[in-house]
Amino acid sequence: MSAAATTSELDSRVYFGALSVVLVESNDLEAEILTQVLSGFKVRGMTRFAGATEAEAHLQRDTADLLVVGAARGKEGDLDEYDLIRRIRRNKAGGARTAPIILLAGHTSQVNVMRARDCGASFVVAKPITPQVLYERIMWLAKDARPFITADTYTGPDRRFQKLGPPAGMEGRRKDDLSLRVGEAKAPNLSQSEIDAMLKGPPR
Amino acid sequence: MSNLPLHTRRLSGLVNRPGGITVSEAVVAAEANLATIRVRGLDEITSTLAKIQTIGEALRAGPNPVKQTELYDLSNILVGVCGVFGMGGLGEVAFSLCSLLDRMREAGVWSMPSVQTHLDSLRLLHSATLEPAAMAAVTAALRQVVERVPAA
Repeated sequence: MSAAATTSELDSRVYFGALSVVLVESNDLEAEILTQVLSGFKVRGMTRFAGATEAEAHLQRDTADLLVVGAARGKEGDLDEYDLIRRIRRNKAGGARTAPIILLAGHTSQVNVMRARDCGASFVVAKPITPQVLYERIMWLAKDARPFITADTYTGPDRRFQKLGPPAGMEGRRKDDLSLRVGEAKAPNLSQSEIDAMLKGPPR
Repeated sequence: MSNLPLHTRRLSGLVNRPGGITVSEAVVAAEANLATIRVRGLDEITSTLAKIQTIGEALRAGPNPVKQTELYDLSNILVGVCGVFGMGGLGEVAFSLCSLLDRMREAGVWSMPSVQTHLDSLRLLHSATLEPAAMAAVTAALRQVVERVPAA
């Protein structure tokens, strides 16, 4: 998963002024860091929440173009960030079900990385954030071509970043996965001389 | 843009409107904004470290799941903020402390000396800036301390 900007992207201009961004972060200083970075990007529409409960209530009635979610357990009874994202993805009536979500992770233990992958976040960014990395991740999401998956066990962007096909010996679940069964050849196999001619070109 | 899935198209359409700023302008402006909260950031790092040391004192009496969770949460805050204000080394030690606490919780074990090594390292790095080689030695030593805890 590469999100580094190319040279032409470095020269191009990006307009963040029309974005409606929802920030969820229970630690006030970390929330302020995010606010300052996004203000530097000239984001004007920022709504900040210190916990999952308030954020979820807001997203029940409003939409968002981008969510940036850090620690979401601001008070007793709040969901954690992973469960909040899972709920947002599964809420068919909510205003941010398919919106890009950046999950900011502090201590990225193996368990936390697995939870982040499976909760439906579009991208996981390890803290501490830097303006450069956050910018690049937002721009990556603006080009994200992964399909949105809605299944019994998972809702969110396709977790497979690369098109490597289904695991060996398993039927694929994507519409464009090829069948495991190979049909009969439609034409006779090429002879070695025909293959050589294709690779080398005709004799002079 | 038309080839993008629907959930990407809205964000793409908004950021590609005419006008805006280049990545270097955005980064410079964001860093200038962060500089305005630097003093507050450093103050909060100091107060978070003080809370961590207080919890460390309490844990000398023996393991306490509530205190251990508080220690993990405070260390996790340091992971998120230290690097932003030029104290990346402190953030790395905080990350190591989170790993240690997480691993001990998973394994159902407790080692105050391992925790204390991290608390001492936090204190050291808050008061002094180490050369890269010395910092690498500290993080390597802390990694060994963490890896001594058996994986669950």
